[in-house]
Amino acid sequence: MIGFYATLLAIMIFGIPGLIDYVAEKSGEATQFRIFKAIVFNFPDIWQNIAFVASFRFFIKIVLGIIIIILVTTEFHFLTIRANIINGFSRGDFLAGKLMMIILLAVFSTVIIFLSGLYLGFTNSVASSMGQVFGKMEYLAGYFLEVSTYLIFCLFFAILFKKTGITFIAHFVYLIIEPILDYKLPDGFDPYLPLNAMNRIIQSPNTSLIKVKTDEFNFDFQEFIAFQDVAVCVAYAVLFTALSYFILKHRDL
Amino acid sequence: MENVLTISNLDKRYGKIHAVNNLSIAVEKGSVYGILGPNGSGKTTTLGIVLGVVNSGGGSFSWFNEPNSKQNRKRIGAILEQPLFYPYLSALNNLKIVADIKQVSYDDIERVLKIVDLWERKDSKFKTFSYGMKQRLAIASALLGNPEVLIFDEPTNGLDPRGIAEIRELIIDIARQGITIILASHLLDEVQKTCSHVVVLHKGEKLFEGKVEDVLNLSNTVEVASNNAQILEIALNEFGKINEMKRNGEQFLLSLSEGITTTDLNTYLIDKGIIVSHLSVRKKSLEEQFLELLSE
Repeated sequence: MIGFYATLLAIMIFGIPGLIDYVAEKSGEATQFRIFKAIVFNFPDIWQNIAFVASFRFFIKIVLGIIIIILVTTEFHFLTIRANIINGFSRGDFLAGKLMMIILLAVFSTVIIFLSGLYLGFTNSVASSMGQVFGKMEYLAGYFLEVSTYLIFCLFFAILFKKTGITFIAHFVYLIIEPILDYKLPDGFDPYLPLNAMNRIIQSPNTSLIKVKTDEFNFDFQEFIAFQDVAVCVAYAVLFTALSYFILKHRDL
Repeated sequence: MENVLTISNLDKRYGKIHAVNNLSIAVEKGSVYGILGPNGSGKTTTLGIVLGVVNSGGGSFSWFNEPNSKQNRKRIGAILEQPLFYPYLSALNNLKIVADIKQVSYDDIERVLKIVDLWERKDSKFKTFSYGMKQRLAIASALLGNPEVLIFDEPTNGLDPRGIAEIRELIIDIARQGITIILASHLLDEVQKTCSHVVVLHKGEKLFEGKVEDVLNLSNTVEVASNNAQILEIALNEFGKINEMKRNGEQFLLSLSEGITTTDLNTYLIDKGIIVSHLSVRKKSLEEQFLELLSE
């Protein structure tokens, strides 16, 4: 699974610039696309853009979620959680082990995003001074927090439903349901739905180009990571961990 | 005698089913303690509770006379129902995980795998193992780190006769080293052959607890036969010190009153001029006792 994730990422990282070049040539307006590429992959905006794509909720992040779901539900399927407890784990130890796995996976994925950012940036970016290359790095930290919280959310689902298939279905159903909820609920609730809360950390891509406003195109793109969004996200991470622990504690294994 | 495990008034319900009903037992250090009962009598649930995987519904238990903690479980080696391992990992890696959790050295893995004769297969994945090998790996895992107590739940389930004999020998061998063993089984024969103490469970309730030999001695049956069954029958009826008498073909099965031995009976019969052709004391097997207990 991790191999699959890495392969998928590699295809995207190396494939996207090529794809843009390909589209550029076919369209006959190659210059425009070249400019687009240079802007999107420009340091330091590239960090926000790449983190935005990697953390997009219906996209590649799901592969990491699937890894966690499989990892946890197989413990229930093969009853190895039971064996772990018998051998001397507490339920808290079991949960801590899974949280460690989540942190490792989030670090791994952040490192990959970092390396691909460097690669795409150095091959495409116009700007390349030290300050520019390592500017806006807080978006990588934001990505790490977002992915960790999302994976804890998946861990909670896996512990709640135990069966791999049911957990997958529940997870995907929730992915679809939350935007509907979002639509039905009064506007003020939007930032507090769990997946929304995670996604708000990195809300939109940003480039110097987008700052140009016209009458038709007047939209504020995210300029910084808001403390409030981080707080809500962390609160969800803590909440899902606590709920997982509560379920584990009171369940016969 | 020091108790390794004390269970007081343990209770567990699964909806309407009362799986463990007010159970109190004590396991002495160094004993081989059998938990005997038909399927569904609460053996595995009881062991599940004391091993921390099932939450109790009331009552308490204590290992080594200490408060419950995960540290206590590290001093116990246990097999609950079926062997539980990561199927996609090798035997060696599975045992490394167990060693990590129990905080014992990897050096012990070679010893336990050699005991169960799986050292040659240490690098094979668990899922490639036959059932007997899986069961043996579970025993190796239980032995890891020289635990003070071993718990076996139906250890010979699904094994072939040779495997069963080997496992029993192994259990007896471990018991000789002074390690306390708790053995749950629905096979009376198994408990009779290996255990020093026994508790009989039925529908979650304790029917009987004591030493296996005490169970065996509860009431013995005396078999007598003579060339002339009719005269023998008359004489026995006149003897008076017999609780119960049954005729089984040419033989009479007697249950003697308390304090009366076969010598008393034989002396009486010789006085009456009856020469017996057969006189023996049949120790009631646990199986008969067990079935009797269950029919009550």
